[in-house]
Amino acid sequence: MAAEQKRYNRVRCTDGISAMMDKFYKDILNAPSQGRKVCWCSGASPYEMLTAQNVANFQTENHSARVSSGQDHMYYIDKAEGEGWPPDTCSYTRINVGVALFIARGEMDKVHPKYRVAPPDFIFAGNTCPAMTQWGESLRRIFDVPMWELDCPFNYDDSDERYLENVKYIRSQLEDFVIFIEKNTGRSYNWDSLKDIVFRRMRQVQQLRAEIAEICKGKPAVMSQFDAMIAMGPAHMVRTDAVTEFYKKMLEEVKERVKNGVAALPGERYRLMWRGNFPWYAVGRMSRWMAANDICLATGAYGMGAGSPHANRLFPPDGFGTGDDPLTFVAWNVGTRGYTRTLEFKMREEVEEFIKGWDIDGVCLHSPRSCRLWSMQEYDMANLIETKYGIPATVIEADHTDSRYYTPSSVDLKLQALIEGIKARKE
Amino acid sequence: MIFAGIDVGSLTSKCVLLDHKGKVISSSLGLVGAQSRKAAERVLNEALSKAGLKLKDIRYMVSTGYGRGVVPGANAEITEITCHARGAHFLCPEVRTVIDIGGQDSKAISVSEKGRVLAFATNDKCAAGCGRFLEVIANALEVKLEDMGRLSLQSTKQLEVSSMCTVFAESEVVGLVAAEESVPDIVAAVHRSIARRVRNMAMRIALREKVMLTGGVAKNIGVVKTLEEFLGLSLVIPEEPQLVGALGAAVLALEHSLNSAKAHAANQVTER
Repeated sequence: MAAEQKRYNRVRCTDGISAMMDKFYKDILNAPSQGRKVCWCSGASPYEMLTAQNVANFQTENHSARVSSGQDHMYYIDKAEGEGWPPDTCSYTRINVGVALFIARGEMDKVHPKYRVAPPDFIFAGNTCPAMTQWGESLRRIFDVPMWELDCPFNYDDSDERYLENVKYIRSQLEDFVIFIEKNTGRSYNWDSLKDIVFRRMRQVQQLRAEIAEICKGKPAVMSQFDAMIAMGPAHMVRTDAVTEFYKKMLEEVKERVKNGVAALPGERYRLMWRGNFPWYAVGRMSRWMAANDICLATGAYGMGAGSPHANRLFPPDGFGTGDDPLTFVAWNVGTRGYTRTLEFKMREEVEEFIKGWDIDGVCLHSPRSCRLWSMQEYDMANLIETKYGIPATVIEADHTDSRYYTPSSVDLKLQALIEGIKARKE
Repeated sequence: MIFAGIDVGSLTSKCVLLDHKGKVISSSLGLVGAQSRKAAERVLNEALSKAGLKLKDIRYMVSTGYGRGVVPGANAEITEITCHARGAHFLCPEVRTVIDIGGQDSKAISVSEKGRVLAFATNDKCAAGCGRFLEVIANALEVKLEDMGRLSLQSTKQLEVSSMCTVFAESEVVGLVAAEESVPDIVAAVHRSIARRVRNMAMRIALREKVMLTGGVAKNIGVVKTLEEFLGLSLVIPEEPQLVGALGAAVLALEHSLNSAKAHAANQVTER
């Protein structure tokens, strides 16, 4: 194997993400002292509805990914498993439950300062990810607070009729959610704020990210999937002007790189795509290994998702008949996500668009051991990719935040064999 | 000029030496233990000694297997996926699928007519269905590993043993022994559990004949026959199934050298 000396040329603005997230979580920790309510949310839930009401909120997956990236996950996983949570439960959940158990018992001092958050006044969970519903139930019991669940139906046939049905159904639930928010915050709902978030901030961020993804399709890649995944943090977490500014800065930087001929990985020989979530604890290791082997991890829906046509339908087409109703937009966003869609949809919008758009040599499909949501028919996809595109695909079995399921020799074998397969096809 | 392939696996280390015409001139096999580097050196020295050769006679060496990174003097490291495909193709150019059942892993490889890897599948996280599984069961039944195949052919009753976990399977075997089931029947059930697991893994890569079975477990006639029943075809079993990976590595070493020579010759012509 090549000496591990070569590194990716990281996009510099991502250096500021850590400080952004530190500030973000500190704000949540301090929210009660500012008279604000706190809600812990699961990722598939439209937390913009809480932000609009000035409820401090965070996405549990983001928080757990942060813990795992910091290599601190086992402390909280051990806590959760030690109190009965099975090791097969989503590892995001186990980390967050571990954190919750300390906080709920007044043991904040046992949580690393970086991961401290205020206890929730209520919980918001969407069943787009079934594990998160169970997570929500767990936290409801741990903190003895109300929980609100959003039911997100599966779209079995990708038909327009089904879309409309699902969106209407989700919207009707969101009307009830508004009542729940008003009851738990003690004031009328701030519709102007929601409109500003949905129609201005979210749209701006979406457009910026789509433009960044488009620029990153060039060869050599000016930004890697590693940077793109790290840059998801702000997009998924906050709906503030600071986030918009961050993506504006990122856009300027990638444009500058194109102008100056700066590549994410000088001398890239192989362009790979990553499908699925990522083993967060192994970002450093995998980026160094790939760089040393001239592999540019160029794209993937999990980081460059804004570049897919599906993402560009974040907002429903004109003529959808919603006027300026933000709830319909929120419902549309939730109801049309890839999580509740068929294999055909995922192949078309979350795999093929990226293979073609980024001119990919090979695909890695992550099969996370404790994640049902992102365990999306990887072997079927690998077969379809090889058959339809004639490029090799490999399934990497690991986990998103539980490093016990990551075997370096097995992962290295799969990646190296994938590269050998690419070389053989090119001969 | 000699070309060497060294396969440092989870249980055993293997070495094959080829001459410039691609003829096998020597081979060796030994246990890895806790020291991969020494195991690699040992098998290399043994193979050289058998052929009356020295280290300096090796023109190019390819290492493979989990310990491929620690083989001293290796010119290239290539995965066992590629090496098994090449080794199998070298032995039998009609082979289109290789199933390798090693000590702690198993793999299925789809091979092109040129011996290139088209697709592959491996077991992950679990040694159920591998050589180690059979060792554990042999210990539990107090039989020699090399007798398992012969014993299973004497089976007269179909029992079931789990194929999901080696540890659980051992518990089941203990239960069957306590129920006074016969050793041949138990061993046959263990072989069926391996064959089912391997078959299901192999089906992921669109199996095509001819199919070669490699790895130490290929010496177990009971597993071979059971797997043939599950797959509905006859398997090609090489004379030395454990050496196929090392052989493939040696072939790749030879090919590298031939390609380099051709490229050099082409450059000479260009320069003139």
